[in-house]
Order: sequence, then structure tokens, then C-alpha cells
Amino acid sequence: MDNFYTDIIFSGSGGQGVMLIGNALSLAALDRGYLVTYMPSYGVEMRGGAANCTVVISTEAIGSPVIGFPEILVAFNRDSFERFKNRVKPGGTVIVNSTLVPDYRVERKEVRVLPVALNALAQEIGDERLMNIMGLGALVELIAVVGTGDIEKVFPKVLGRNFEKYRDLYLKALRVGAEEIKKIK
Amino acid sequence: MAENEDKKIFTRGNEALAMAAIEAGCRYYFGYPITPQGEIPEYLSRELPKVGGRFLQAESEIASINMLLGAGALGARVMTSSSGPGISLMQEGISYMAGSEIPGLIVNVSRCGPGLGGIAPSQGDYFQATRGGGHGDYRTPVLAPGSPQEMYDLAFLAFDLAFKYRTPVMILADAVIGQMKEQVVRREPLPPAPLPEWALTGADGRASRLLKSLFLAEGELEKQTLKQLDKYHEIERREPRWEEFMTEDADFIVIAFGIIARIAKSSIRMARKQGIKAGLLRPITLYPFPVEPIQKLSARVKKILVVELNTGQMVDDVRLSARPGTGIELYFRSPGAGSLPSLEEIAGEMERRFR
Repeated sequence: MDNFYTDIIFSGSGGQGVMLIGNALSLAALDRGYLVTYMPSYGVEMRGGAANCTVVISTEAIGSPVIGFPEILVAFNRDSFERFKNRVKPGGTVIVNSTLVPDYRVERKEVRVLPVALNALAQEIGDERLMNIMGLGALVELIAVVGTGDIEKVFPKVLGRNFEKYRDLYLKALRVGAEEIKKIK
Repeated sequence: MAENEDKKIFTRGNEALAMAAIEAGCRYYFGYPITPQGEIPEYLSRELPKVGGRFLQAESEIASINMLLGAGALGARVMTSSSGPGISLMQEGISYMAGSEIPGLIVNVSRCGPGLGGIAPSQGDYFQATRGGGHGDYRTPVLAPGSPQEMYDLAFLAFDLAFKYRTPVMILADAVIGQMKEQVVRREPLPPAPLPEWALTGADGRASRLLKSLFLAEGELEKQTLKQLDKYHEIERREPRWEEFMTEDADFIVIAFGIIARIAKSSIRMARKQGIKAGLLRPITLYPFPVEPIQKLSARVKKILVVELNTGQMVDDVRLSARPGTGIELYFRSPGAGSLPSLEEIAGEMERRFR
């Protein structure tokens, strides 16, 4: 395996499912043979409050699971976008939910912004709540470390019985997210 | 193959520790909720009843530690967990356990102090943990995990030491090690341990036994204390544990434990790329402190940098361990939200002080 390292902050509000997709990505990368750490925000979070988690994927032993300046930011709402956008490393990327942050703007030229209208697209395929899975699809397409097939394999672990029940919807959300990034990256 | 796969899990440090406690034979938990160790009681409240154990949420930390003392006196494998303020409340009970030679595991997933402080990671409880914490002339073995895997492994070791030496044992973790998830490889659960010969099981048909920490007769306490001292000396001789990373050819040594040691490893890799020959010594047991390897390293390295997430506590033990005249510097971050040093910050300190 070639040397590889990336770190990602998934952020949004409690209830949007950022922890769930952080876990799914972690498990899929682990299955692919990478070293992985997952660090949630903890303690004072609640539904509607801020929630974020950090995933580090590497071929070398991982030092800190806490990342001040990430390579990639996935921001699901305005608060998290504003909070983290200026911390993204030069050369880094922001995937922003343009349904909730239509006027997204990062003043720094060395940071790439990829807008995906996650809530709107999720609504189109049948359920707005799939926006986190769609965001995960977008991220997976961007980092190209694991495929959507790898994510599919770990879905039963993170989604439980819901996955069997809504399998097609979940997989569609994942696919649509990936396709959106393919169009604009 | 499938069996091996089951042994590899991706889990939080807190959960790994709780899982290991059960696999090491712990069947009784007494505790009171506090961040950032909530996943330990969460896991045990779900899993202990399944193996015939008991989970009890006490009315306070003071009650918890005294329940621990009581159940421990019966020879059972018992544990509690808490964080800063709760651990402070437990000190009286820990002192009584040490005095009565009752084993038990106390987990401190530490947060910032003093007082309520904050819930960010901290190493500010080092003195409290390694100097006994409660009143009287005693020590408790203190284990400092540096990963979820070690949260798992050291829970087994903690019970081994607790019963081998008849002493309360503390695991001193921090909020990051407790909260982060990483791969953990599980081992086979231990078979049930036989009851120790000192356990209070009811004196029906045998001479009665007594576990106590009150020794009033002339000469009695002195004798007991010296017996305990022999035990602490044996612990200091036999039980120090540490990890060395890239120390073989190192000109400079970083000494750090827990989450800081983890970050420092990456900093050392970075510094090595810049031509600074640095290595790391990570104490795994904080008491007994790894005096000998530090003494040896101090004889040949140019400088030692102690890095701590407090205002400088372990550095005292490093000074006591190193050869007189060794250059020992301290880089500390005062704990609180946002104060965890990055690998670049520690590498920067190394560059500044080692170059």
C-alpha cells in the first residue's frame, strides 16, 4: 500500500447524522487495511446543538486523533461551515451543504469549495434525512480511499435493521452524492 | 478466521476498558455519572447483568467507593470509574482500601480542574494519582493508557496487580483516549479466579478473618506500615512498565504519557525528517515510575524534554530519576478546551530546544 494520510472533520447539528457517517467511513477504511482513528465531539452536545467528529485515515501509526486544521471539511449547516471553514489547511477541500448554506463563501483561494445541495437532492430521491448518507457518498468520491461498495459492506453495522428495510434508498443516496462530486471536482 | 475477525473491533477507549474489565473477571461496578467517562457505566449497565454481574449507580462517588471497599473485601473483582471531581470525593475510600489491603480498580478518565474545571482532556491529576491522593502513608499503582488498545490491555493488568499486591489500582486516562475510537484486538476472557484466602466469606466452620485499617496497639501500625512499604518496594522493583520509541540512537529524549505521548510520536517522526535525532520514553506505569530507563538514557542523551498537559507534574519524577546535571526542560500546556498541543507544536518545541 502506498503511503497515505488524510483527515476529515464532519460537522453539522445534532441529529443530522454526522457521527454515523464518520463511523461508516472509519469502518470501511479499516476493512481496506488502513489505520483509522475516530474522535467525536463529546459532553455538551444535544439534538439541534453542534456536533462534529474527526476521522483520520493513514498508512502510518496515527498520532493525534484531534485535528485542529483538517485537510477536508464536510459541513452540513451554516454554523459548522462558519466555525470550521477558515481552519481547513491550504490545498484542502470543503464539501458544503448548499441547501442550508446557499451563500457559502471561503475567502481563501487555496481552499477548494465543492457545494452539494444535500437536503434538496435527498428530498428528490424520497427522504430529506438521507442527506448525511449523500454527504458521505460525496466525500468517498472525493478522497477515493474506499469505494461506495466498501461503505455498503459496513452499512449493516452502522445502520442496523434500517439498512435492510431501506437498502435501495441508502444506496441511491450514496450514489447520488458521489455523482454530484464527480460532476464538479 | 471468522473467530479472529470477531477479536478485532473498532471501539472507543472507554468501551474497550469496560469490555476488558468483564473479560478480566470483574462482576461488580459501583459508580456515579460524569463526563468524559460515561461510556464505561453505559456499557457495564448493559453487559454486566448478562454475565451474572451487578451494576449499581450509587447516590454519590463517596457511596460508590465505599461499596467498592465492601464488595472488594469479599474477594470479588470490583471497579468504579469517574473523573476529576468524583475522584477527589473518592480519596477517603481509596485510603481505607489501601490501609485495609483491599483490591479494586478505580478508573479516572480525567478532565480539567481544579474544581469543576472543564471536560477537555487533562493530565492535571498526576500528582493526586501518583502520590496516594488520600491521607496516610500509601501508594497506588497507576496505569496510563496511550490508546484504546491499552485501555483494554491495562484493565487486565490492573486486576492482576490489584490482587497480586492486595491494593487498589488506578487507571489514569484522559478524555481523548477515553472518547476516541480505534482498532482493538481482544484476547480470550480469563477463567474465573479462585477466591483469595483473605476474603471475607462468613466464618462458618473456620476462624474469623478481619480486614481493617485501624491499628491502635503499640507498635502495631508501624509494623503494618513497614509491611506495606516492603510491598511498595517490590512493586517499584518488579512492575515499572514503559515504551521506548526510536531511543536507540537518540541524542534527545521526549518523555510524555497518555495522549501527549501519542502526539509526540508523530512529532518525533517529523523532527527526524529535519535531522533531529529524537526519541520518546513513555511511562505506562506512572507509579511505579520507570526510574531505571530514564536514569540510563539521561547518561547518554544531550537533553530531555518533558511534555505535559498540565503545568508541570511528571517533570518532578523525571528530575528525581535522571542523573544529576541532566538538561531537563518542560513544555506544558495548561489544560482546557482547545489546549491540546498539535504534533506541529510539539515538533516546534523540539526544534527550538534540541537544535
